[in-house]
Amino acid sequence: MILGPRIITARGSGGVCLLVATVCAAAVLAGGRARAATTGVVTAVNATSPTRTIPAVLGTTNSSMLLGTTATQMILGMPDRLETTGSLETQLSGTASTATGYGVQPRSSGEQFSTGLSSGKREQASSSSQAVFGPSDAATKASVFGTTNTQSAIDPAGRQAYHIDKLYWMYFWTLASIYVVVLAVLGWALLRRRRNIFDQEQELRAHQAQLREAGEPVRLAPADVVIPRHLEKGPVMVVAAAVAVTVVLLWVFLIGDFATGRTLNALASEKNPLAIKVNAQQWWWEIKYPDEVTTSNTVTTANEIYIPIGRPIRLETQSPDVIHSFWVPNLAGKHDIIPGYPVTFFLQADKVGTYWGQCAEFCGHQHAKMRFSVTALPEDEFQAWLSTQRQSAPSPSTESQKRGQQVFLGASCAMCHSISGTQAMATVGPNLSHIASRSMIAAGSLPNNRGNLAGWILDAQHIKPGCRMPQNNIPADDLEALLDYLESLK
Amino acid sequence: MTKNNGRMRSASFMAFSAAFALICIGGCQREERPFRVAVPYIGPQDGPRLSTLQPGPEMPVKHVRNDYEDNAWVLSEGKRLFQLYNCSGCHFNGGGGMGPPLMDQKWIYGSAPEQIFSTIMEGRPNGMPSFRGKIPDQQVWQIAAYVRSMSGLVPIDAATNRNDDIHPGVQPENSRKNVVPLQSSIPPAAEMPL
Repeated sequence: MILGPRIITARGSGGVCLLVATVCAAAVLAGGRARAATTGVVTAVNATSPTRTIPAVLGTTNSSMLLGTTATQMILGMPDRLETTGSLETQLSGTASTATGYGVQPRSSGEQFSTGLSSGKREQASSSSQAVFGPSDAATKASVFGTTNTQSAIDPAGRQAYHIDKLYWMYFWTLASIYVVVLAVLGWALLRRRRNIFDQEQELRAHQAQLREAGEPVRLAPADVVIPRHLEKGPVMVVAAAVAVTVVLLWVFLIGDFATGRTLNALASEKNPLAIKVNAQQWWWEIKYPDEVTTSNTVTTANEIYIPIGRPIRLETQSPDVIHSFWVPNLAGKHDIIPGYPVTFFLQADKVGTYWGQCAEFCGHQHAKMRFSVTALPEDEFQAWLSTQRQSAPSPSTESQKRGQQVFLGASCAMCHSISGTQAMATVGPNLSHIASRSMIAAGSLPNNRGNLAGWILDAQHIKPGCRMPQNNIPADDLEALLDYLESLK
Repeated sequence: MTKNNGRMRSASFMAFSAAFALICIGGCQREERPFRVAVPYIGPQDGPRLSTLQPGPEMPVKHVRNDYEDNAWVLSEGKRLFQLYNCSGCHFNGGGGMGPPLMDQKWIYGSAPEQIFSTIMEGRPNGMPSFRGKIPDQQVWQIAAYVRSMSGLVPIDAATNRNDDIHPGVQPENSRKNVVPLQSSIPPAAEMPL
């Protein structure tokens, strides 16, 4: 009688719990399946949906970036290059080298390193089952279309990320199955008939009635009414088993963690690493390829890291201001960069492609726009890229470019930026010696095209409020010349 | 008695809360960060004069008010730029070296905001370079505000007490008491060449 309503209430809330749990589990499983579908063979995905429209693109990645570009292009009356046609096959074929991903200026197909993989390699790449991308515009485009995850920890492209991914899925499936088992037991416990308790209550009432008849004092729980042994055994076994499973699982997790940690660190002891210096600052990344033998060969660039595949990369990081965190999910885990405390760590890419990185430690106003990219290339293409970057900035060839150089050196630009081969040698802002070879400006905030560059120079505080780039008041004709010059710095 | 006590206690609590709230409200705009803001305007009659001689009756001196001086963030930006543009290369951290010290009360070319602005923009004889066109106006105003803070000429509650990053750095600007600026005579070596 007393227990009746309680059981009903318990059943009601239990039902709600079960419902919620089932929905959650279904959602998780559906997500897992969706992921499996998207990370499948790229060509297959493209074959089913060869053409995607702009709204779909905006929905997938970097909507603000794309919107910004369109806005700038509309203002400047430039043709809209956002049209999206063709499958990845056509994008990866020869014609795609001049195709432009979201408004990036077309580049000449003569530059092999910047237009990506050679066509032979492209075919090989698309025929393999892996998602392979070059650093080309086509590749950037492909990533924008969501055909692969270029910023995802569960789509590993490097050895470390692969082990982290394995660990993650081990945790996921173990914990998911524990969750399902626990909920199943909970459901069973709520739904089964509780005959024993009713029986005991009947027994108790009968006993109390006996006592009352005999005139003895009525006790609430007589000493002789106990739960029978055979009923107690089951729960004890279940609890013992659960504890044992928990302990075993914790050990498995612990060993898994240690094993993963060891594999991640194993990279440090491998031979022939490539050293890259990363100076993380508010809110961009200075990248240096030091050359110990000939210091003048040191390459300084910003926000776009190029690495060879299959070779460990030693990243020597430091920060001059606040704590940042270096994170390329497709390649490795996060590494905090703490001011006054140089940190060295290793990573390696095993798949050709361009991967997004992001500062993963809140560092002020423009933390969200402190992005960078890592482009993994075959060793020979990487060396070709490096040797191009080693050259001094191209000297201006046209009248307009010459005037642009004078504007650059005479205005406030030269106070913070440097261009190799000129008098501009400041190290406060990004090195602009080969700015035209980069695909993005302002630490991955905007595609590198003429309109965005102009907007950035004139009013960076509107695009990235709080950044270190000041507003500049440059007359229109000077600005045009300056843009001509900057666009010539391949 | 106890009732009275309670009342007094609650009244004093209310008064304390009100005072605390007022103090907090007062601090609201201390660190407002004006990323895009109009710079102080120097009219045709406001700029600093390079000579004390004037034809006719003397015009009253009207100094420009640099609103940046009330803002702690701007002062810390000025400090950052002071290092960044290598002002510290000659003036060191305010103590002076190759250039004159900035944290004392002596001013060769005037202590008013527009005078400092003009010193940075136009340069001065014997060493001070002209930064016109090299540093955007708003940043020059920020640096001018910081320069004045080094000798305690900005409101004490706005004077920065820390850098805007993790390194504490040097802080002459909050170790200086407000001192009366003195116009020193221009040393013969620094006179404008005729």
